[in-house]
Amino acid sequence: MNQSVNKSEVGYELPAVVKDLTEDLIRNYSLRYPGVFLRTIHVDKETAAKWGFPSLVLQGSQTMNFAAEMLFKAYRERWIENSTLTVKLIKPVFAGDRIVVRGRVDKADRQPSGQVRVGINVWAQNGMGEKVMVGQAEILV
Amino acid sequence: MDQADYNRQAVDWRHIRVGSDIAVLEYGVPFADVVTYVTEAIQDPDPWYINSSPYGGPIVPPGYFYGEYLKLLVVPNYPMGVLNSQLSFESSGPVLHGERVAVIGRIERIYEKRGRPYMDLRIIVRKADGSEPIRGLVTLLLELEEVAHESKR
Repeated sequence: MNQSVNKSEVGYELPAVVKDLTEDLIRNYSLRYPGVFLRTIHVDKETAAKWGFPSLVLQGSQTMNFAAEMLFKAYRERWIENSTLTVKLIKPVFAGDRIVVRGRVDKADRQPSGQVRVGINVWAQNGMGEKVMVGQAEILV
Repeated sequence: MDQADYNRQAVDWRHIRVGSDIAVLEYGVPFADVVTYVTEAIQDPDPWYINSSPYGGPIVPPGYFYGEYLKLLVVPNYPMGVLNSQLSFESSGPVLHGERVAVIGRIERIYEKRGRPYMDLRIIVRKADGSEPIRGLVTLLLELEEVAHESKR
């Protein structure tokens, strides 16, 4: 990780967020949503198996939350006050796996106000190192 | 009922009207719910979420609202689709614990891409003063061929 680079400079790598995906973690999130009354692939192993998945499937919005955690830890109130995050979910992630979310500043546009609009390439990998989510964030810092 | 059963009994996506607000959820997120959310559902018990923040009290994580589209879709019995392919959210300010918000869902677009049907659902989190600290767009794949085939049996 290149920690000598400032958070608003191209090349800055955000500290990664790592989550071990237990069944409880996936269920605890998804039971807040229709998993409470539907046997979804996120809360019911039989349903997941019926859809051809080996285990409970991590919900896309939960994956996005892990990316948000990484961005919030790095940029704090700037993340809360002026930010966007767009992610594409490209591969399912399962209970028992580990997910690592990473980000790197790939754009820094100085604004007339003196602030910098930072573009961050965001991605997540499973335990095999395969990309499961890709995305882009923008934050005014 | 599982997810496929739900989608089968839901309103046919071909009959969904674009531009309509499908549901509004009004609430204030209580302290206890935020604590449960950050400790058990996302494992990020940041002090700003549970103790204090520069905004005059602990705040609700913006990500709390990322999954609310599912609650919105089931109100009019709309399909949840088979997977979400893209999520996009912007944050322009904090939501404090207990602060009243209206979470609004609006169908923005229904379209086909490579022969598959997709729906874009706009999510708006609006405060009583009219400000919208969180706005999002969720893209759902509504049907996979094999699932559609299964539903016609």
